[in-house]
Amino acid sequence: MQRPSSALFRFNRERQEIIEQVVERVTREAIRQAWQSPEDALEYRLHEAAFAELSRMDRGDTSRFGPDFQFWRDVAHRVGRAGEEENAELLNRIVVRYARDIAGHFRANVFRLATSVLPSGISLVFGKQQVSDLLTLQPNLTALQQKVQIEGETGKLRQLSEIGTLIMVPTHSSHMDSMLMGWALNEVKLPPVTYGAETNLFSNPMTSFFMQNLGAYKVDRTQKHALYKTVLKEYSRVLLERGFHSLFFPGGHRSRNNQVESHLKLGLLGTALDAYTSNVMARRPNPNVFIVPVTLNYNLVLEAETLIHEHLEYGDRGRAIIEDDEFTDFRRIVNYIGTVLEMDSPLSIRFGTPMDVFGNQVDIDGESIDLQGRRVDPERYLWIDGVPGADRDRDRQYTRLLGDRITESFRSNTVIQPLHLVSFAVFEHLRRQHPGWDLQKVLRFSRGEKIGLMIAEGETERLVRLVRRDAEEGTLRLSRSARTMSARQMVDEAIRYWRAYHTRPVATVELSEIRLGAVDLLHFYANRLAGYDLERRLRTPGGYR
Amino acid sequence: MSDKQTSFRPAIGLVGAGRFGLALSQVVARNGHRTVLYTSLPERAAALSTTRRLPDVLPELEELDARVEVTNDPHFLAEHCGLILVTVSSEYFLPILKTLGSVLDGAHAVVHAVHQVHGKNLTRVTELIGEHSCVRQVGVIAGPTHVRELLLGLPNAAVVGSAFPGVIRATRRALDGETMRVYGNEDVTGVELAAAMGQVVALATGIADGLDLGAATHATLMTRGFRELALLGVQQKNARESTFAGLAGFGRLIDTIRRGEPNYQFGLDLVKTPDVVTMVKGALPEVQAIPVVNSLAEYSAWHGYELPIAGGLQRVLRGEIDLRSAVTSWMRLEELYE
Repeated sequence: MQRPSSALFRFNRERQEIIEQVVERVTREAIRQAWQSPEDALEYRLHEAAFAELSRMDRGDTSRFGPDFQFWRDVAHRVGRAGEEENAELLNRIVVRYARDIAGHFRANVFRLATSVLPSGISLVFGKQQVSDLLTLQPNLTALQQKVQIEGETGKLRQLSEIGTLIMVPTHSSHMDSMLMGWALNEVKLPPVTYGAETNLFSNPMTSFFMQNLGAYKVDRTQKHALYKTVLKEYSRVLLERGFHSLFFPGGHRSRNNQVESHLKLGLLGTALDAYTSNVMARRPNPNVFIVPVTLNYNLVLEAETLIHEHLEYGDRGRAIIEDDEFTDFRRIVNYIGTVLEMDSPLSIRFGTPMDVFGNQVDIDGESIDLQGRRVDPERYLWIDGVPGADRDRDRQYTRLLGDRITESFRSNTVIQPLHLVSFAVFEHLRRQHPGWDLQKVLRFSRGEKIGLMIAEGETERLVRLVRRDAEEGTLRLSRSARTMSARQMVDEAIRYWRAYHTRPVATVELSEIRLGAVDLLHFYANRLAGYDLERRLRTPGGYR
Repeated sequence: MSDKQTSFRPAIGLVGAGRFGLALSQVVARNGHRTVLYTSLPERAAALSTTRRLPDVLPELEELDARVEVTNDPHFLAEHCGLILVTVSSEYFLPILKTLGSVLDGAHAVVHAVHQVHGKNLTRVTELIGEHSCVRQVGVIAGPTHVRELLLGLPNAAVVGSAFPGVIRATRRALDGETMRVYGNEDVTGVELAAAMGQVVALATGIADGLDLGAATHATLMTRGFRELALLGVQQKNARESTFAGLAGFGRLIDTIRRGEPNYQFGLDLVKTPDVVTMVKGALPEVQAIPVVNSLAEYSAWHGYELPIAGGLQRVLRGEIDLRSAVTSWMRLEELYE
């Protein structure tokens, strides 16, 4: 099969031009806004940036005596007394600095190396390997393909990648996600994508080499001020306009509690519409930007313990960036791989139906189709006075609606595994045992509680009947084993997985009873079934409606 | 959509030649806009085009403003109008939406005055518009507006709920004038829910007043009834509480009760009838509270969310309990904290 061409192969040639374009647009727009309203004066913007940078360094992110510190102290010093022209020059210097920092590199030779070696690496993780295969460097790819299920209309996506720019928007569970996506795209002959990676992935020794050479761009999420975000968004927009297929994690970070994302970060996502608008206005030949929701469905999650701890301890105020999790611990990764090697279906990747930037589904020719199956002309959404144009307030709402359609796609394309079913059934049983307890109390005090194996099986059976009916109606999706295994087999499998990898076993079996250990992890895995209205229906005695 | 866009499709569209649709057409036309009034009923369109009156529907209307073009052709509406105001009553809404869905495109904005919620999830009308058409720029208009006063040019007010500032601007531009003052609200969900569910409170209050239970019960029922529905909106649907206290909510409720409009009047009449069930079956389509009560009861049963007033009303309307014991039970609800 012919692999579609990817713009990424010409990235390094265009890199300088891209940076210049970003700088030119950001500075021009900032100066225009400063002219328009005194509240947006350059002085304020520069001051905000300098203040944010210096206080970041104060918190110890960067050395107080490094060149960065000198630079920003100089900016802060000059900005108060500078005139218009000098402020514009300062702005330019800062924007150049940010744009260079953000822009990545793509080296075709590294890509070829990665696509030939990485599969064996990943199949090491997810596939059954013979030692002889490894020695001869001939990975047993058939076993890998059997183990990891890749589902969805990939042929259609290949076609769309030739006539527009694709943006993959996957759910986010683990730092392994980006590499996994890279592997999966290669596996189904889709072109490689560029994406924004957290700065700590660039410093992590296990990933930095690939990050630095495979077109990833650097996103520093400790930067919260407007100027940095503007540069970042402009960078993404320029890449999309130039046809670089991209990947965003629209949830913003890894799901802390393992629930499928229902609230998305719309900032970067909005660059999809921005790029489409520029393309249409400039009458470029292939203006379309296609959004492809992807669900990454793990059984066990590498960083589960850190993530759920973070969630329960800090809630929504939790750290945006966690630098000391399982992903930085080589032993944990080896351990994870060891566990996963034993699993029948460690994960599935599902590509959802692609959409235009307004959330309409698109067909194989890239035509937008509304929910009634009628053809839609997407350009019309942009019309102002009969010609396409941008309108910030309006476009923000369009992107919010797109986000709603993406979360709907996530929910209906999440693939439920037996581990999730058993965890949910047991956790809900536990909650019903303590009707007066709130969630925190259940998590804190039910460690050590015992649940009869027969009860766990019965509860799982009840849930399985319910979800299989939902699956028939198309409101929920089950993995192959969740469709076919008996409740008993599911409980047996769950018990094996519960104690296999995590440092604190979720539960152990004593005679004919399950003894609960890490209830927070049980909750974590049960959460994959949140949002399908199952809690209520399980609680209604005998009633499945 | 900005103000500019309306000059591309400069006319304002009105869908539905009922009382409210006719009155709004007059308001829009008097504000100096080219107005297109679409009705799916060919005989109405014909009568209006020739005689410029519709005495069976709105006898108070002496003559339709010359700037109103009447049409039976949805394509004509779509071609000339950027902003489209839908005023049909809820029973005709879905078929008309299907017609509109096949002619509208992404540049249109649709604002509706169909105060209804549907089914076990209380699906809102703007959600239905998104499902049956490709239109994204949607909104809702509601408030204590009154057809006769609109025609007389007396001051009226309404609120437009839309997430799109451009839709609010365009609607204001169409309606704002001496007769009408239009407020904006970003909380579409709140405006839609308040306007639809407020009708239920009007019905309940009508029953209490019909039973002659006094002014204190009247006030208590209005307040607590509204509170029950506002809490549902705020807790379950992410609506804003202040919206319920605004024109679409309390403003409209006070108006409905004071004027004895259909939902309230129906409650008063219900007390006098020996056969509630037959009367409910024969209720006028203007008594929109009845389908809303059914949706609320369905929602309550499905989601296990208690709605004592709506639930009690449904049982009353089905003839399962008598009116007096329903009202007494509402006045003795267990929850004693506001």
